[in-house]
Amino acid sequence: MTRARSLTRWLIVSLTVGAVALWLLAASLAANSLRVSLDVAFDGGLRETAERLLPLALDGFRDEMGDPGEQRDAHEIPLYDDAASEYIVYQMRLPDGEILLRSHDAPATPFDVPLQPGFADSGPWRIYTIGSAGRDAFIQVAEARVHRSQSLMGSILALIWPIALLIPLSALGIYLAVRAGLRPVRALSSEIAARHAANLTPLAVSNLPVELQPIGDAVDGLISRVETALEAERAFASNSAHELRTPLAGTLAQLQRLIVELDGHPEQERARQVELSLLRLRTLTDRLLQLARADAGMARASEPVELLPALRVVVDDARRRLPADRQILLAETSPSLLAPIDIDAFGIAMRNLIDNAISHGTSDQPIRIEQYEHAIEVKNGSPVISAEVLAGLTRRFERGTSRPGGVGLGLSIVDTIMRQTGGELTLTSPVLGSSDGFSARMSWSWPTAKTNE
Amino acid sequence: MRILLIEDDVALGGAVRDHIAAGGHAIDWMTRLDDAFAAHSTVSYDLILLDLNLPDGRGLDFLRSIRKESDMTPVIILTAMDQLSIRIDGLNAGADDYLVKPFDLSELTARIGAVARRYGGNPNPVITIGPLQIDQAQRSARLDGRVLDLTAREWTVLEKLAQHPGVLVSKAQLEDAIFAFGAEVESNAVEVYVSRLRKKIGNDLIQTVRGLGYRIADE
Repeated sequence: MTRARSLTRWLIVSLTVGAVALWLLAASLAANSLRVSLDVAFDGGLRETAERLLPLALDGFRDEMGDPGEQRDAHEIPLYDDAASEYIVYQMRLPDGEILLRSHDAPATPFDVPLQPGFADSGPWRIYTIGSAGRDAFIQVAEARVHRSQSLMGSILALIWPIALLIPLSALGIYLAVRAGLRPVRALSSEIAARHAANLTPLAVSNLPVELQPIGDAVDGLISRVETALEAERAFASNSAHELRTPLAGTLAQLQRLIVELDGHPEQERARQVELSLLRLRTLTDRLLQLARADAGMARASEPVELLPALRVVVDDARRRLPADRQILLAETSPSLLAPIDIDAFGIAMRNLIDNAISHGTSDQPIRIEQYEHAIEVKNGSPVISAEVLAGLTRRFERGTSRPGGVGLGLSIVDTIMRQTGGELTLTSPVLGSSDGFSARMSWSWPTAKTNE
Repeated sequence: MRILLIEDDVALGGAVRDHIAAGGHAIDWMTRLDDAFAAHSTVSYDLILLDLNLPDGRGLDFLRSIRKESDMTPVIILTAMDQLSIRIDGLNAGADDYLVKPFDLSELTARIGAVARRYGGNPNPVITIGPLQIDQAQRSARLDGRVLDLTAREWTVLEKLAQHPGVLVSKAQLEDAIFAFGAEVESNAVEVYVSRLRKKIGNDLIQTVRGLGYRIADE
């Protein structure tokens, strides 16, 4: 099974990656703009330096060496601080290219650019050339381009390093925002989860954010359709019970009158066979109607129900139709029996357990019904039933081995009802503390019984 | 006993009527609630068999109505609705028993007998009066241990008298217990059945109170 996709995780990753990408794009645009600005600024600096330096250099050279045309030996200007290095270097050159004067760190060979006023690039240098008024001397001021790159890189790094802080902060911020934003989704999810066969009330759509209201409306529509379908199923099960049982009752009663009136007549035996078939049909009809009602999801009650009075009615009813040689003992161990089960579903489940005990239990032992606060156990005498047979008893149309002729639906109906109510049907043989017997226990874990519809 | 059957299904109603009549009881069968109200207002019944779904209303409304008038006639509900909640509603409304259709006629007979005995103040189905032993559950009577051969109507008269030993039972009450609405009743019918009974159980056990009725000995 593939792991469910986390919307929160997806939002954190995608929004963080998006934010970083946008940040990097903005940083690159800013870096490009910065590079242009730095070039303009540094070029301005070079030109200003050259313009200020040229007259000073010319005056100094004339004072010291005479006219530029008379002096041929290149002269290097020493540094005040030998350990320092020059940020900007220059060469003063004659029109023929000869170097008259150069700064300490300037190359001894002429820059490989023509003596044309303006900017030029040569190897690692950015050079600005300017000539004297008479064009008898030129000064070329140069700056190592690596300096500009370093400045640019420093600025770019200053833009980029906050990303290291941005990523976790962004992820945390997005996580908190998504969590807060999804709160209505979680509330909606809880609301939907609270709906089951016994609670199909509409959702409180007006309390939902605008974005979730279409979902709420759609779920309400679905709930309404489910409720209609369930009502139809329940009405069918209920009406068909009446419509089937009444003619069956009339037929059975008329047949039983006929059997009496045929007393001594050879056809009476045939009528008795028909009566047996009708009685089997009655049992099968009962079970199928119970199964239809259980399958219609009618078992779950929205609130815990006090079942002890109902239990007494069911037991009293069972005692009235009990064969003369059988006995039912009811042990009430608690002043109440509370469970989230519809009272009619409880009646169906109890009748099936008791009928099962009457049909399959040995007549030499009474049927014992033990009531607890959140459980009921029905025990009857029986040879030990193997675990394999026990496991199959809750399957539909699965019959036990003790008595032929059963429908094979009783325990399946009880199991269906118990699953719907979040309870459990436990079949045990032999009965705990005994060497034989059979026990069927309905129990509800309290107070957290959840529906398994 | 005089029994009112309220059942709209013709097949079931007819069979129940015949079965109860064959048991020696008088039975009036109504298929509608308004007819049932009319019958109930004119005849004192010993038992009512009541269906819940009727063409002109709900059987439970009929039951609540007669209980509201402090009428304590025993009522057995006969219905196709087997839901426990409906059964509890019926019992809370004042029903004495509840039979889900389809039921065995023999079970109906047993329930009728049990309810009648409860109301008679003696839930024990066996009544012993001197040498006479009457088993209401088995619908049999023995005199000095010998099984008596009684017709259904003789049985009904004996049971009616034996349910309250020493208490006077009027001729009209005995007629009501034997004959349904519309039955041709001879003016001396009760005397005939009492006379036949005396021949079988002896003259001393049933006493005639001239002009008032009959009673069975208290011993």
